[in-house]
Amino acid sequence: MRYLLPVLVGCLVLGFWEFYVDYAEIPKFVLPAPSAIASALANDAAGFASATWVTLRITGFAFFWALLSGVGLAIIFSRSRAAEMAVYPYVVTLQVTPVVAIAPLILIWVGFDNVERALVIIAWIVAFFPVLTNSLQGLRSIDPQLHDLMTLSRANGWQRLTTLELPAALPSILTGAKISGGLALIGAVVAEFVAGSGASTGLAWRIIEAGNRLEIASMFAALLLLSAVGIVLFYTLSLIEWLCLRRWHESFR
Amino acid sequence: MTETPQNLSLQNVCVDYDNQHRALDGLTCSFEPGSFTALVGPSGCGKSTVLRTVAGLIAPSHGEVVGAGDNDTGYVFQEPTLLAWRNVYDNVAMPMRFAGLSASEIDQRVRHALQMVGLQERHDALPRQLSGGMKMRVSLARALANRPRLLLLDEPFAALDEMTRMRLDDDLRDIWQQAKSTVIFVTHSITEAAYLAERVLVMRDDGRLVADLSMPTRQDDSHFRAQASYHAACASISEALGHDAHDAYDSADSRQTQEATD
Repeated sequence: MRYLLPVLVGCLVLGFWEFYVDYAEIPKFVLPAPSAIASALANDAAGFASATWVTLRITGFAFFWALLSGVGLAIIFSRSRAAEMAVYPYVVTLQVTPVVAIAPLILIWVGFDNVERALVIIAWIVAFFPVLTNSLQGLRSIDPQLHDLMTLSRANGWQRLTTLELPAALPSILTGAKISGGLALIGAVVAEFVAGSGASTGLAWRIIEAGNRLEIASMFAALLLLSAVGIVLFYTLSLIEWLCLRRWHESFR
Repeated sequence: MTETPQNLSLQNVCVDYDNQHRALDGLTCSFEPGSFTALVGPSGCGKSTVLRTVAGLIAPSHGEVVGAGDNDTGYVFQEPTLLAWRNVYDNVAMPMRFAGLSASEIDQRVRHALQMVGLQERHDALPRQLSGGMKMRVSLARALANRPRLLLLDEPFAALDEMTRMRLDDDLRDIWQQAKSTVIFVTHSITEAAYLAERVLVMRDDGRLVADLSMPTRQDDSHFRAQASYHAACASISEALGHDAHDAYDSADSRQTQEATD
């Protein structure tokens, strides 16, 4: 039932859409029928595949760096209040400044030699904050008695990190990662939009290009693929979360 | 291990929190090797602070702690304090792994410790699969596995129901007689202190020791709670706590029943 119901709803909507576009004679540059979108996708499968790969790569790298820098900074902040006081305001500044406004600067500084690197940096700015705040909260809310236990057991810094802190903060880190995965994709799309014509070859660029040519079916096809990337990303992270936590964490009881 | 055991002693120990609130005020006492001492007092009187100071988690503001061994102290917290993502075996083995013991040595010690607390069958269970009493036993096994000369227990059974608590009290006495550690047991329960300890130190609200009582030696363990000497011991502790003896004994009982229903 859980899978059947949404599929049934989807089929009904698609059927009605197909029928209505035909019945009301809606022009295909306003709303193409699902069949037209499917054939647009099939006609340029190779092009769409490579565009998807570009966007996926930007998203993946941005997400990877977000995870690394977010967890790394959280560990440093949790160990040193001074480091947090010194750096945190700038992290917040970077977070609250609209990325669309910073993007042209980054493109100018980095993008001339390597567009993709600039896009990854823009997507990373969007993605890394939730990992940082969630990881920090996870590290801060570890039971102080467990820290005492580590002290009494004479754990060194590395043992404390790997035996207690990272596993205890893992649920929060993964929550941050799930939010961050979606944001990395949004960041990648925003970056491609800002980078504009010729500089990028990802799915967002395909959307702009198709829009300019009034190829609305291709636009829908690219949109569909973007959603698919987002969904795959989210459920992959959910799967990783389930694999890591199901045995011991309260949320999987 | 072959060295002659040194008396653990506290000499005029003071602990101030935030440089103003005095938690411990000039505590001087000494613990004979292999003795079982209970430290009794009302909540917030600094009992736990004594243990944390002895364990080295808190540095005294004045005075000193002599003879608390490095790596030779087992500590049992109020809660089980287990790593939820590690099984029973790994939780017990963890401190010894940090200490760099060989795998075979660790294995032998873990199995022995789990046997002492009666959990050898559950070595691969995760903490969430265990009851509150079992988790406390794992915590006890972890403290025992390193064969500590000094065993510090901070109200370890306070959160458990009365039946489980009485059973664990009995087990703890057995373990102490086997392991021959010096035990300091913090509790706010007068009856538990009187039942377990050879000697009871009584603290008051202001962080001072007010009494040092010897408990009667017992002949027959199984019926000790029914003996007059046990009730006399309870009464003497109550008196030292500054209550009318009869009232205090009652209130200790009602406090326990309240905990059991928590």
